[in-house]
Amino acid sequence: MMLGVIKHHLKIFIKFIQFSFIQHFAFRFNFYGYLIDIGWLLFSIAFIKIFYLNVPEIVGWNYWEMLVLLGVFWIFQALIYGLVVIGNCRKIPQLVWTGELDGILLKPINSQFNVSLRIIWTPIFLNIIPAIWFIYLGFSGLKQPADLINVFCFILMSVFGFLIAYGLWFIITIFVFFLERADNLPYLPQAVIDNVSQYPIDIFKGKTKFIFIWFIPLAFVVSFPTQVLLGQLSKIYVIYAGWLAIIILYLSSLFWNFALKHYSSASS
Amino acid sequence: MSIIEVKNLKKYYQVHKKEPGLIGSIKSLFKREYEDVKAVNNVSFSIEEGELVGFIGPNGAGKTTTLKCLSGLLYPTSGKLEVLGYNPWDRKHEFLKQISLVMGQKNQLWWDLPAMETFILNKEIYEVPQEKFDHVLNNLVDLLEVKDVLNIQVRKLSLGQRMKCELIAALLHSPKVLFLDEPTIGLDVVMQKKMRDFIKSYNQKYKATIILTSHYMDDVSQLCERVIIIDKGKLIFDGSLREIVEKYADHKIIRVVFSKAIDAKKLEKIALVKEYNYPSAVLTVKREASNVAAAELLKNFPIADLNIEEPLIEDIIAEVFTGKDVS
Amino acid sequence: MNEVNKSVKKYLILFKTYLQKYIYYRASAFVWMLSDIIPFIVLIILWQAVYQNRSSIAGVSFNQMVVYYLSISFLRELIYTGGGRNTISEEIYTGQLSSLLLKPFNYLKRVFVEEISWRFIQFGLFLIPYVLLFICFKNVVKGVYNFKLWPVFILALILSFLISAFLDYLCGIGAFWLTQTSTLFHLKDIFYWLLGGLTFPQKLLPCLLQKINITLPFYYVFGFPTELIISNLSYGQIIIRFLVQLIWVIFLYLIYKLLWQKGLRKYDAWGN
Repeated sequence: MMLGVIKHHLKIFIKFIQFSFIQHFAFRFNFYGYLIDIGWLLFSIAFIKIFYLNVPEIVGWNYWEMLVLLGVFWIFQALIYGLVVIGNCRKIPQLVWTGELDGILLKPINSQFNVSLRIIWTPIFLNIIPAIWFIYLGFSGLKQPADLINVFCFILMSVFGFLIAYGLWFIITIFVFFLERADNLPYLPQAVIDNVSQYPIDIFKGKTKFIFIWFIPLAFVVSFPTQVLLGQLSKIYVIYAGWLAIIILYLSSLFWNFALKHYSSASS
Repeated sequence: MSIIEVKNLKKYYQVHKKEPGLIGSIKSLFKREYEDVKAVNNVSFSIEEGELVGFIGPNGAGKTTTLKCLSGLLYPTSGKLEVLGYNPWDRKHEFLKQISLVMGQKNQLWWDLPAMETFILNKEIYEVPQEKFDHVLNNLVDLLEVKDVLNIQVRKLSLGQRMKCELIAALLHSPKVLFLDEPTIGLDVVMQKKMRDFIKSYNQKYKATIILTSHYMDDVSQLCERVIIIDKGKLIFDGSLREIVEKYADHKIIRVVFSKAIDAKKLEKIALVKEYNYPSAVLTVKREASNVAAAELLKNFPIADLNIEEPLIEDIIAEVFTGKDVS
Repeated sequence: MNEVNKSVKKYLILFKTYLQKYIYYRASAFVWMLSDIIPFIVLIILWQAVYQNRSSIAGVSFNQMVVYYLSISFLRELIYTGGGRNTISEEIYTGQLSSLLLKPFNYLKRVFVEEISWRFIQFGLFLIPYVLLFICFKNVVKGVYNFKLWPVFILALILSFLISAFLDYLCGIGAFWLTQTSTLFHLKDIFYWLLGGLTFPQKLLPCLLQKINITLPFYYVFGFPTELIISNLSYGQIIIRFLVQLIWVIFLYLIYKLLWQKGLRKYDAWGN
């Protein structure tokens, strides 16, 4: 029975991706948007290069390892922005104050699933290609072959990391139900999550580091998976990641239901 | 057991007031004043399967709020609700699969894609088996005459075509209970009639229970046997249209066409003259006295044509709102 | 005299309206505030980690680095023009420009007034967080600032604001010729971050790039004013850079006026 529900939602998810393809590639392709992405990509590389011109290592990470981290970060960004943020989280404030959320709540599928994945932004997935190339460059520079087990654990941990980031992003976005005119609330997680997860977690010390590992587990989004990929972190962290993902997803759904209770659709 | 049961439904909102001007803005940073709005104030009724019920009331009366409570969108402040045996607020998937809410302006069709795509998505979401889907879709498409527009991007369709497709999208899963909020708003006269015909045939063919809200009297008078009047959140009347007329309209209208010129003043002895444009006149007379008055007219005046009519429902209902209250 | 009074009153009312609008959107403002500050705080933390093993990078000490970021990010909030830009593009694309040109306001002045009123909000919004930040980093900040040249600094600040505004409007006016101006704005931002000194002091750039950078306007928007009160730039350097900044202001203003006229003619030709 549970399997049936998962199958059902999977089918719908595939439909969402189909729709996104049709919308973005069949009817119009935003070339300028893609240029902008390339621009920022080049900026990121320039940033690392200039940094390492002046400094040989950052908290024990050398230039090549940083390149791998950059690649992983870009893949994460492409996925989270493409699947969840651009089309869905950013539209949630609008759904709430126009009452369009009603249409979503009336559908016999999980409303959180619907509101989080409805509108997918496929063009941004193109960024994954250069990102994989960075990772490849990094590994070539390190003259280290990628271990298959590490890769597998890396992928698994990245999925968990993605779910953790999604849960946190979603929870913060849901506060729009309780605030007036906080239309740009979906941009707040961007500031925190993007900025913190793009660096190795070791730049933080003591209590802050502890918080970012166990309370707001951003370390598990990019930093730890990269370290697993590089063979520098114990595999037990994959298990931790799994548990954290489950807890945070559960919290997000509790909060979602709580917010819905407070939701009164815009009057006619 | 009734298919829809509403007992003592109450829905209150808190709205905050803000003073105008710059000072007012700064003030609202620190102190907020709230005001209670009683959108629905103790409403009770029950509806059986297959009924076509009309909700009438002025804007802000609480009609839409009631519909939203019944479909599970709003959490009632207090009261008991049951639709198809479910508590709407639980929003169980089995419940949602059997109902549909159509609101005039809101749309669920994906803008950049052909309507057909949205239909297929809904088929997946509602888990409608392929054969049933094809069958229902063909039926609806024929009834609404939209066969040619299914594969055109929704943004390129006219308002009428879009509304028809919206309706199809809302009915593909053959809901047992249908809530229609202002279904004919913004449509031209021809489309309004088509919409009404469609709703009527849908009700008869599928035995679907339908509640519709409207402030167009024709929607209600042509479709609904039963009417519920809501004003300021309270239920004022629940019964058939005929009952309203009989209960609240204490007069009837007599339309006369004269064959020869007459002295209008003499008319006033028999009935109140509402309009007089020779050769026709519109008179109002007390209900009980209407037959007698008609006979008198026929006896004393040269009449080419005479009709006794019920007063316009709009007028009756307007009277109902301005004063008379069931409770 | 009456004419001036009337026009001042007009703009004052406009000013009040914008202030009201921004107070209403205060929750949004709070989010933007955090979104703007957090990247810099994380950068400071990053540098803290890097400076663990060394005391100077490209001739910049840790204290100087921290103060640099605190100062440049605060300046950024005061100088970075964000309110006017998309408005211009939007108004050109939607054709609203026509009706706005008819109003009794000089269109460009109106955009400018909105910009200035936004400055006040920015200042008010960021004052408290930055005071807190400076208190936090009190020990680090001591002795790094060098306010001897404060008149030059104030002048440079005003010129910076003008350059930022003109660059912004130039991008906005792009709407007369391009179907989309967002690429221009993003490009401008990338240059600000890379060359303008927002990501790191321009001393960290490779030598050749540094020399080129000084001839470009981006450095003069953020980097230059900040370095005036922190680094010990030689008097020679200060004079040269100040002149370059002045030249850019005049140059950008002229180009801006020119393109605005050209653009308007094209706009009229569309039959708006």
